Amino acid sequence: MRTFENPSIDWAALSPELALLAGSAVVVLGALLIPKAHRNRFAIGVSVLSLLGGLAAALTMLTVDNTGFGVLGDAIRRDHLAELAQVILIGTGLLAVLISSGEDSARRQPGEFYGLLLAAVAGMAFFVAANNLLTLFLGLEWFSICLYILSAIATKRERSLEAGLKYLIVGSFGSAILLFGGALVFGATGALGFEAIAAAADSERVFLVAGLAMLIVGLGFKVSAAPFHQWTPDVYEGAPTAVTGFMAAATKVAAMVVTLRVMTTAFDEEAELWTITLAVLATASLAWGNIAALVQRDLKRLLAYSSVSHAGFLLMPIAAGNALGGRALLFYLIPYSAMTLGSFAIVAARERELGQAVTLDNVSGLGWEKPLHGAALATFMLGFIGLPPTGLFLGKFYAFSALFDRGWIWLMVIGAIFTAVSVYYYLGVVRSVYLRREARAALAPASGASPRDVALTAAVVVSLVVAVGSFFGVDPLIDQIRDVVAFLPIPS
Amino acid sequence: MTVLLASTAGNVLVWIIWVGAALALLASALAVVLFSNPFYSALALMANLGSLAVLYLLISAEFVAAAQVLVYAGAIVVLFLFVIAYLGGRADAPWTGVPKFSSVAAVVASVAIAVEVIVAVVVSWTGGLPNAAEITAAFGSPREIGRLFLADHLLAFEVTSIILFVAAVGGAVLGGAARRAEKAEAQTPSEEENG
Amino acid sequence: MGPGIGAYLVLSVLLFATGTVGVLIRRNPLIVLLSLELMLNAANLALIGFARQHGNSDGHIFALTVMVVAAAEAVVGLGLIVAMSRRKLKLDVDQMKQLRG
Repeated sequence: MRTFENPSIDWAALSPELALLAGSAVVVLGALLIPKAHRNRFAIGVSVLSLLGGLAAALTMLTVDNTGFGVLGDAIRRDHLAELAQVILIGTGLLAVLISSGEDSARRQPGEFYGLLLAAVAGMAFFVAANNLLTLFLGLEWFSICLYILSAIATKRERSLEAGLKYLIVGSFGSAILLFGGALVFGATGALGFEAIAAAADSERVFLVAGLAMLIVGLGFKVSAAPFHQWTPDVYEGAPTAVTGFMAAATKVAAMVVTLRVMTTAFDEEAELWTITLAVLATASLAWGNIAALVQRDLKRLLAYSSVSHAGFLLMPIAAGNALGGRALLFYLIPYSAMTLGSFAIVAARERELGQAVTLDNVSGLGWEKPLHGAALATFMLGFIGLPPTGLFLGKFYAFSALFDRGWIWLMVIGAIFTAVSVYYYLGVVRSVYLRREARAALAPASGASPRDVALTAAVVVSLVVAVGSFFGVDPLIDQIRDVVAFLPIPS
Repeated sequence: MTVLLASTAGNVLVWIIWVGAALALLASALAVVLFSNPFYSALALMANLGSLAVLYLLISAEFVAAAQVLVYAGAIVVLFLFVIAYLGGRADAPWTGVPKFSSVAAVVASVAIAVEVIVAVVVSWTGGLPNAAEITAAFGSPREIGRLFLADHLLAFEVTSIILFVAAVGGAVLGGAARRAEKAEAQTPSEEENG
Repeated sequence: MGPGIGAYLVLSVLLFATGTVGVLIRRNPLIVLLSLELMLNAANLALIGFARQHGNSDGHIFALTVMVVAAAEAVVGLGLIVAMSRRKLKLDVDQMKQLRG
């Protein structure tokens, strides 16, 4: 008495995740079979191949004109928003692989490291396509668990294990809050899918609002928005620098896109509530992140607080709640992720050269020793401020325009004020890079000239190209993004 | 079985079981948080999970109750107990030297949640909640859950297996690290090999 | 006919609050992990209760997947704690809060 129908599976929609997962499995298993001498190259090769495969899949789907529909009921949604986010995520994954190739912990256990990295990218690719509360939670946990392990993977360093444990505790705390919020929303509406939640006649609005609040808190933990960002400096400092760069860029991309999707799709009727809440979180992140960054000496901690402030900037266009805001968010993410990875790449190179944590003191003179790294870091710092000709200039401009459209001048003013505040510490890094100091004998690298890391230099160059290119190539990007945002049910 | 209980004068029995399980739930939760010895806390968690299973049975979630006992109490908490026993349980009193930030955050969190509790209680006792939906015998049965896992929520099912895979890789990485650390310590007097 | 959804929800919220306080107050990471389990179980109870309320078995599916995720997190967390203790690191969450170098 078979009453069971096989569900229809849209394999194309899952192709990026499948490509990445296949790569992950091959890397993990292959590392057992390949002899130790070739293991590293094998792992990196397979990783790059599977990332390129996933990229090809996502780009193909972007060009195909699909009107956006669910897969297997309402589990994930195949639309251009997910595919564009997947392209950005796979890009960050590729840069992360290039930066990690010189990382000590990656060399020690390449199978596990690159396998987890690929699985993390796959999890984020799944997360941005999630269309119901269940897949939202699962996608979040998927890549978060990968990142907990990756943060701890430099097991020779105590700081790394501690960072991993701290990330796990705080991350699981946030996930539990998100889960409880999801349970309350399920209880209020009786539905798990985002469209179904929006369509349901609320039986109990109290539960819906409480659930929405807890969902925002849970997502806030993930994007390191203040006041849920306390874990960010410690975890970023303790984790291996390549992993930190990946976390700073990719987690933000994934979580911000998902916040946009969840808020606009599932809670469009409660827009008055979540827009103002996100605006408050944005203000807090801008304030706390920028002010705390002013006093940081350690470069990884400085970049961590800088990423908190950028979380504030990224929340602003979502809070605006209009289509221009959606476009601003997606455009902002492209140069932001490139510059974040580029900055951490340079910090990683310096760290490996010096054998100790990079601070404003021991980064001095970098501009003269390694002109490319110095110029790149300077460009990235100026870009984080939002100066042309980097893409973030236009990103901030669009974000401000979105707020202006909504009539929230106060938030624009706050953003402008804190951009001015951030000039101090970003320029402090640039000044340090180009400082000539005579008494540098104590900080000279012990082994003389450091080995050339071609992969890392390539990653820095690519980051530069994306950061500056997104300024000059803004028109085609914006056209693509306009097409993407049209899928979301937000008012223009 | 739950339908039979409710339909007879076992309504009183349901309430008695519910109150008993609820008290056990809250008491064991407090025990988990307040005991200084983590071994006792883990045992309290097991009691907590048992009372949760009883509550699940009362709301017709038989499969989940069974899974709770088998998987959660039977595997996860046992894993905790093994690790705690292996580590030798470092005792710390819960209230000694709590730093200020944690206390403030805890108080704020508790207040927020207490507010939520009050709201929930008020809402439920002013009769604002609709009655429970009618359910068939298939609700919460293994057949229904199997069907849902293989049809509507197939992706969720597969993703859980990926999460387990990732956790296994993590366990191998961290376990290997522990072993290497031990080996390195054992060889501290002599030359350390690369590892 | 037995307690309604409100009673289960109140229980669930109290359990969640207890777990939250445990995560924030306790310094031993093992107890913190146990408190996280309490929070996840509280959410499970809410899910099962709401599933009964709406007659929608999706809540059961959600609860089962939460159990799997809780298992995975427990594995990684315990692995980290064991690795840290093997390296003779002090198992104190608040000391880790002072990672500032």
